[in-house]
Amino acid sequence: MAKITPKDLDNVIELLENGKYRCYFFVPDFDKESGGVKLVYDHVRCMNKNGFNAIVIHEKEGYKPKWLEQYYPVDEDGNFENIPIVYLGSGNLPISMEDFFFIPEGFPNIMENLANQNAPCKRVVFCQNWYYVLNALQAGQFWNSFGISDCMSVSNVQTEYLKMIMPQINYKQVYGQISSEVFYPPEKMTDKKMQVAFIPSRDGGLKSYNVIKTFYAMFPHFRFIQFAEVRNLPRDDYARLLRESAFFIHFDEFSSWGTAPIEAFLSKTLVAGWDGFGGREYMNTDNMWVVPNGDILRLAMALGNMIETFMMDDIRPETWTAMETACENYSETSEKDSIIRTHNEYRQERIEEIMRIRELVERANKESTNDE
Amino acid sequence: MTSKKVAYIIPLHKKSDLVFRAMDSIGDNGIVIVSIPESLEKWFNKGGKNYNSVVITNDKTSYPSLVNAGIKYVKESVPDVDYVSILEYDDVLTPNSSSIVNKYGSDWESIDILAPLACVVKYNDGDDKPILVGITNEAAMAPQLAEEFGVFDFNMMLRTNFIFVNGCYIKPKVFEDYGVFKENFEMFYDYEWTLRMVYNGVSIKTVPMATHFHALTEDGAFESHRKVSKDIVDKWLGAARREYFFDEDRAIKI
Repeated sequence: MAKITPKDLDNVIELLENGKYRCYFFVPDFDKESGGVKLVYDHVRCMNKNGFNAIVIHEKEGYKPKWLEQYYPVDEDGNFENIPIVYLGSGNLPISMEDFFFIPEGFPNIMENLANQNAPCKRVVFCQNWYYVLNALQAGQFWNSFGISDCMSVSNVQTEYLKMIMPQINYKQVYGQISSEVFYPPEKMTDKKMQVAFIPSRDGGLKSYNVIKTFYAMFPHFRFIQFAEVRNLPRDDYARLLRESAFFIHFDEFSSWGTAPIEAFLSKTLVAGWDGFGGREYMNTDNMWVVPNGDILRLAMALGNMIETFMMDDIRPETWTAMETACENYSETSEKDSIIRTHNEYRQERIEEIMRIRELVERANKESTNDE
Repeated sequence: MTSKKVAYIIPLHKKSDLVFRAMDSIGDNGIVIVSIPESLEKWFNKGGKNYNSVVITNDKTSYPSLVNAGIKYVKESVPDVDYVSILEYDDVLTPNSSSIVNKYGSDWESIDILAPLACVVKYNDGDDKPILVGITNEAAMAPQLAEEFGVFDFNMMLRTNFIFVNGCYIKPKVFEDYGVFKENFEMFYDYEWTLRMVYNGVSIKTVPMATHFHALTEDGAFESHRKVSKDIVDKWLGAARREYFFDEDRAIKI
């Protein structure tokens, strides 16, 4: 391996200062619609629109998630605009010291490979779901085991959790965005149906069906209430369903921040559900009927209470206001601001880090000259 | 959203202090018309003297005749109301009923009859807080609530044997155009009336909110049909399904 010189490092600093570096984002090849994958794509697109050079990395040569075509404009060659894709499988990925490599929390194998290959770039975990962090790692293993010292997190509650289990890591927070052009209320609130939209729980829907059956058993007089399951729906159909439903029930026990309740809030759809822990960033009793994660009985009761309150036209104006306020953090502007701020900070920190390395290299060179 | 003017007709066929609770629940949110037989006039005026209401007396005592007297009063004395609503004497309006009527009345301007949910409630002894135990006629309203039918469908109504008129908000013009309740019906007069209305193109749509509590009380005025045999019930239902076609209140043989 060639010895690194202060001049090399000056070049790296210059490249960073001039914005001539790449930010790679590894995304698994995932054919099913996934909020996590979309969030990375949104992030990359936002960076490229704002002067950064961000690139998605997939595994298999030529892979592109088809389901994302409904979200992004595609150019003549079939590529997403502002979202370049490269492939690990090609084997010739140019990665230099000025570059960044963002790895999802569920892929310690990628973290390990990059560490074993002495990848010169800055490696950062892009953590979207606290639940997968320790599930993916072996006991006693942490991200710093792979030489990683930084993590970009998508919710402050998740960040607090991560700080508790890995205090040695530096954390920054970015916000995702939910488009108010896609999710918006009906023209008139009187257009709402007495319908509860829901995305099935992660156990194949078992817990969600149990909540629904418990609800019907406890509130037989609400047997006219219909449940509309969201499964493999195109985005616009899903948005229409939320818009026409008076209620949404959130069954995610392990969410990082939980996009669906925000989508429901934007649609002026009342929400009952579990906060998934990560959703505590914005889900609270002011804006929804929130109950402890996994508590089937209390969720059925909360749903009954929410419907009864709606039926009596007794939803407090403060609830609607709190729903609107919660959405403000997840606008295109907040996403953009947080992404630009975070990546500028990363760049600055990397410059300082390289400068420190440069000092060390210079000192080591001096010492070796003196020794000679 | 405009404020809707509502005339509430409360038919009362026997002495019951519950009528004052019903009137209290309306308060200033509408015109209260209490329709009673002549025999109750003295008793009512003694109990109801502090209420801002109109009392009309009748020589007939049947439920539809008491309601019809109220409708006649509306036509002659307060023709500018947006809606007429019939409230049973033991029922009460929900606290936000007027905002519901204003909201749906404004947004659904073309609908002739707003049919809100009626919550069946019970009261614990010594407690005025209603406890929700059910919703009336939700089976008929279920498809409506999912908006599969839009307005009430005539064929669906022929299959569904009971529509709850009490608590609905009815545009007065509907009575003028297609008539009032048939007093020859001892029961299911409201079923015959709704069949007649929908047959003539009157639009009824379920409002997915509750504007009144239908109280489960021992002296319920509306329980009579439950005390007769299924055979009699079926005969009156059959009569309703025959008579909706006729405008006049024909004599019925059961």
